[in-house]
Amino acid sequence: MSMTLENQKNSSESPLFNKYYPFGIDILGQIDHLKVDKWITPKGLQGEEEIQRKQLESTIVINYPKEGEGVFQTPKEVTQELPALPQLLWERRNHPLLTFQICGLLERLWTIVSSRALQLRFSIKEAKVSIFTDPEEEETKAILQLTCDTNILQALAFWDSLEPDLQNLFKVLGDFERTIFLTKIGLRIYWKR
Amino acid sequence: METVNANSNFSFSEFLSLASSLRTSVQFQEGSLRTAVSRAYYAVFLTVRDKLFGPDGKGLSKKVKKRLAKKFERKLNPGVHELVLLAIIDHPNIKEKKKITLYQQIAQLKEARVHADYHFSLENLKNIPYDTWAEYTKKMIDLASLILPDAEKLPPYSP
Repeated sequence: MSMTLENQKNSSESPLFNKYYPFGIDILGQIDHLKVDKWITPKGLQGEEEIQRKQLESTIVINYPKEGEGVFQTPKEVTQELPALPQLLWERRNHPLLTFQICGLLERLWTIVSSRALQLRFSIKEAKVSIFTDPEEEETKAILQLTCDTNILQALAFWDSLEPDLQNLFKVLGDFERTIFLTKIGLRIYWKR
Repeated sequence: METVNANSNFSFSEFLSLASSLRTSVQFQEGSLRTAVSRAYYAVFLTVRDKLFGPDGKGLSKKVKKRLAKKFERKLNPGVHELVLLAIIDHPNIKEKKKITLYQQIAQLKEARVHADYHFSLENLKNIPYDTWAEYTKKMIDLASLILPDAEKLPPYSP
């Protein structure tokens, strides 16, 4: 559905950049479905242009036709599907721990995780909320458990990337909610490769 | 009466090496794997505890326990494992960029250790997204190996 692009050379002059970033700023850090069916090459844009993919660190070279003529079609590689996000499953929605407040915090956590996953093109295969009880400490927690189709390094890098978002969340939460978040909610990330 | 010698040079990373050896041991397969998960967790937990509170966690005094329990609204006698983890969050000198994720990553290992030591029914193990103890153990040892260097860098707890 979308991909992340960065024109390293000449972003403000890129037709693709201008079409999809009319303000000249990549606000979301991603382009939603980059597809150009027809493009008449404007003055000064004849020739090659390199577009760098942020996440994949590969370069796409686009050949613009002659100035003022020609039909430009986006190369197939430019349109790339983002990994679809799974629906958040609730294993035991009626568990007494899952109060309105804890469910609200879990939803906020899931929003943070899913937004970051989309931005980083991180593939989450399954996301569910389960209940975990530690018999030793006599504590029960609601766990947001993610299963990912990645290796451990990718999983930990993704996990680490959540820290600024979680810090920001902590800043807006009150003391009580922050304590609830730490002591009653857990985030677990499992990797399959 | 004989006593066990205190070895101040003992490194908790030895527990992690032991976990790796147990994982490949052919005898007592599930028992070895469960013990390996437990040792991997303790390699990290004890490192964190001693880095924050000194040898054997002596700095985790009654006063500090009470303070942490009050701050995080815990019960009267909270477990040491939970308090040590909460001390990471409460620590003023740990880089902000790693606090919450380190806390959660160690908590994931702790959860694995609880599964390994206490849970034997399908009801309690069904949420582990791996098919075998061999796979789960390998993943958790890998996780512990990657967390341990961060744990070793933790400065002493001084609220």
